[in-house]
Amino acid sequence: MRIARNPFMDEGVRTYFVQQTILRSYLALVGVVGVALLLWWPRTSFDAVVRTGVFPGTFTSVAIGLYVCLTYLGARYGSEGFSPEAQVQLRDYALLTPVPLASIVAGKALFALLHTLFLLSLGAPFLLASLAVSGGGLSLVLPALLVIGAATFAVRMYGLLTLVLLERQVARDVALAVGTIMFLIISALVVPAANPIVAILSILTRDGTAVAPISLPFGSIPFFSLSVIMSLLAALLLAGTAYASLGGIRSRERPGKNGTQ
Amino acid sequence: MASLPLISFLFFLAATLPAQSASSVRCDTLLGWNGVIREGRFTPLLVSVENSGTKLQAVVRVEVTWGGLRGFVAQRSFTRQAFLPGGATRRIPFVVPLARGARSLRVAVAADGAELARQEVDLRSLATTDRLVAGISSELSLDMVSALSGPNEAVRLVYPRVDDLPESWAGYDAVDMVVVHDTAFQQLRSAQVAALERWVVTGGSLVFTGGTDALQHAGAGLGRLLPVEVTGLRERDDLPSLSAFLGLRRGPRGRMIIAASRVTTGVVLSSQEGLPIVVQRRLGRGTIWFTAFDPTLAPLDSWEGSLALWQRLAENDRQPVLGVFTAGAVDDPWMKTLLGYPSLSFPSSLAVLAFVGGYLVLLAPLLAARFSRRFRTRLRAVLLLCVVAAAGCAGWLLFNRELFRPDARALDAARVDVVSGDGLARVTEKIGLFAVRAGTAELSLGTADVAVDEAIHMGVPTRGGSAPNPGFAVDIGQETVLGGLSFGRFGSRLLVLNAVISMPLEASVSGGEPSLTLTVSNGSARLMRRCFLLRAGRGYLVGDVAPFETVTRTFATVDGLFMSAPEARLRIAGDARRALFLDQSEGEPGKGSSLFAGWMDDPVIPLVLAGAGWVPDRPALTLVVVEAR
Repeated sequence: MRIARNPFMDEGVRTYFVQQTILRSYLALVGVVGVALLLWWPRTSFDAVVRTGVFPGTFTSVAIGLYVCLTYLGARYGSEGFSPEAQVQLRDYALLTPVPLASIVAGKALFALLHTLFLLSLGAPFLLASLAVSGGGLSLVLPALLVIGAATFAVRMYGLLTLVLLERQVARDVALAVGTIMFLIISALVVPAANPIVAILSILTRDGTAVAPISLPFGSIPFFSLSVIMSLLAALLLAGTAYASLGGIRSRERPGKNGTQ
Repeated sequence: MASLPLISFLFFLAATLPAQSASSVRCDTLLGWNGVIREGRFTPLLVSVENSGTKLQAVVRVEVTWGGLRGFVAQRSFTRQAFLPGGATRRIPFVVPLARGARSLRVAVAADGAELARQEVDLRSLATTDRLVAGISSELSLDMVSALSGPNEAVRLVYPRVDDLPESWAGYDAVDMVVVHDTAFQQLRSAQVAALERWVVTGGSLVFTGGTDALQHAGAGLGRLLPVEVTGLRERDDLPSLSAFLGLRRGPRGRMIIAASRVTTGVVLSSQEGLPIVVQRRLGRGTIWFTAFDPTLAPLDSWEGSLALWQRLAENDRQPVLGVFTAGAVDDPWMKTLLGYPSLSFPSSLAVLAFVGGYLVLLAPLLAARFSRRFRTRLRAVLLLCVVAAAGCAGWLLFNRELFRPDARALDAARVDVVSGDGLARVTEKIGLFAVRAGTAELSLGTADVAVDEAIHMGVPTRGGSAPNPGFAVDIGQETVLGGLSFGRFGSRLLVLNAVISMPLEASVSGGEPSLTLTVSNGSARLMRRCFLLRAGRGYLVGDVAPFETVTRTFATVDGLFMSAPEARLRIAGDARRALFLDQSEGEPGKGSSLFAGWMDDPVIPLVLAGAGWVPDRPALTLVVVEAR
């Protein structure tokens, strides 16, 4: 209940369900993913698919499209690109109010999580529509949403960190773009299972068989789940870094902190 | 110290027990016809399992492996449950399809999950391309049959033991002709006789030779296959009618003993002073011959017409049951016919556009509208969620239930060939399994004696890269169960079933110009729908024929529809699907002969497909064709 009354939650709801720019971004999200569904919708006959072995990749394409859109939006939302005034508020909260930093970060993170779920739900109808023609079942939806959601949440926390560390919007955008692209490239090369796109591709393989699970010392986990775990750990790490950074800012810049006031 | 002997004994027991149990079961195999196999044919396999230990319930498993040359290594396995009494040997018969390129065969006997014995056979060293003739004879006296060898195709004669003769008609698939000389007074098991009879129905040539040994045939249990009833023996010095039969100048001369007989089911092609000398009986697509003389004895064995005689008896255009497939399920002519009705196609892009557009149209006002300040946030969020939920439900229902279902389809088409009066029918049934999602299936066939084959495209993987898994496991008991039928996404399998079943159907046509009369007797328990008669290029609609019903119809010849016209074929067949299938089906009647045909709603080989989401295509496409008398 305390968290539900967190002012940052309330602020998030007021910002993300009122501002026209953000509302339009939802429409754009639905439009782009809808176009992906249309573009990758199978146009050949069932016989041709069976004969040629070129299977419809509709589900995978829609999932990747949703991931790309949500990564972009998550980064923008995280760095408050849609509401520049919020950056001032965040620093003001840290510097001018006695609100505990943990409340600020927890409120922001919780709202980001819930908002990510909302964004996922906007794209979910397209995933559901693309299941049967791709030769998939309902069981594919949850893994796909988990991978996309966790990755979006991590990017969002990365955006929050850039919001704390970098004051200029341009710097934050560059940092977000470079960081996200570097992560995708490096993870694909070094730990493919941690890469969200690889994880999405592994959910529905060409022949319908599951990719071999990943063996860990305590047991094995499904291939896609490593990406989810890594994304959530990254989100926690980034949120922790944001918290520490805010603490640093508060201790360095807060008036009267060293008894001069 | 007193326990030392006991411990030693226990150690000894522990060390020796596994060895004893492992060596208590031995298996041996007799593959093919005296070890000779023909590639691309079903082949008999006898597994002898000797159990010198205590009784046990075992599973005998046969695995055939083939392919591997750039393509895929494929495997089929066949299992039979077998009770093995202690201190006894049991022989367990199998009939295995040895497709071209079959490499090895492995037999294993297992109980409680542990393998007790096994044997491996390298098939490549046993394969021959020669034609095979099986001679059932106590002496190696049929060697002149080898003279049938041509420049391009040799004939190999094998002498199987009576006890080793297959109990399944498909076991004779590799054989072109069976010559029954004598059985050394052994009696065939009823299953062996039935197998021989059913093989003839599929096009085989069975020759009963005469002489004194003809007296054994009925006693061996082969009486119902004989076209004659042997009544005694006669002594003769010549057989001029035989030369006339073969178109030769001179018949055999010299003392010979011929079997006197009375024709029961055959047609006499040559007779001498009232005694049938050569009798022929058509059974299904095959022929049963009876020669009153013994061609292995003088003077027939050295007669100049001996080769011509055997050439006549060996005339045979039987096609092997094991098919050679150049295409998979989706390109099979029969399946192509079925796939389009109703068409299995994806929902159109227009439907997707409507769905995406509808979703956006519902969202747009919610995101653009200005709500009252007090309620706008909460109300907007709630309404958005409602629209999202509605779109999710619509997306699921429209594209997973209404416009397209991911259920796998099982299409089956069958052709049943009956020759009037035989009471037996040759069935060729193709089952096409088309899956959207990956999964497995199990197919139970309500009969044990069915030859199962599968169309496999042994090629290089397609661009999709998903190698087909053509293996399946056949469990043979009271019925045949095909397990392990696995599919990838958008996978397909084509199973081809061949069987000979009881089908008491008779049709006869009399008359000609200006009218003809058809009499049909349906002695089976199956309803034949929309029957028709094909004669001299014309089709006549007969209507339904109920089970155990005899109908008589008279048609004016001029009322017949010309079958060369597509619209007439459509009218005769009933619908486009059946008309297409009729086009694919071979077997137009020859000049002067008539075919009576009809459709059945259910497959004649009962089948049950287990596994989630399988939808059998009903009514099945089963065409029954009766060669009218």
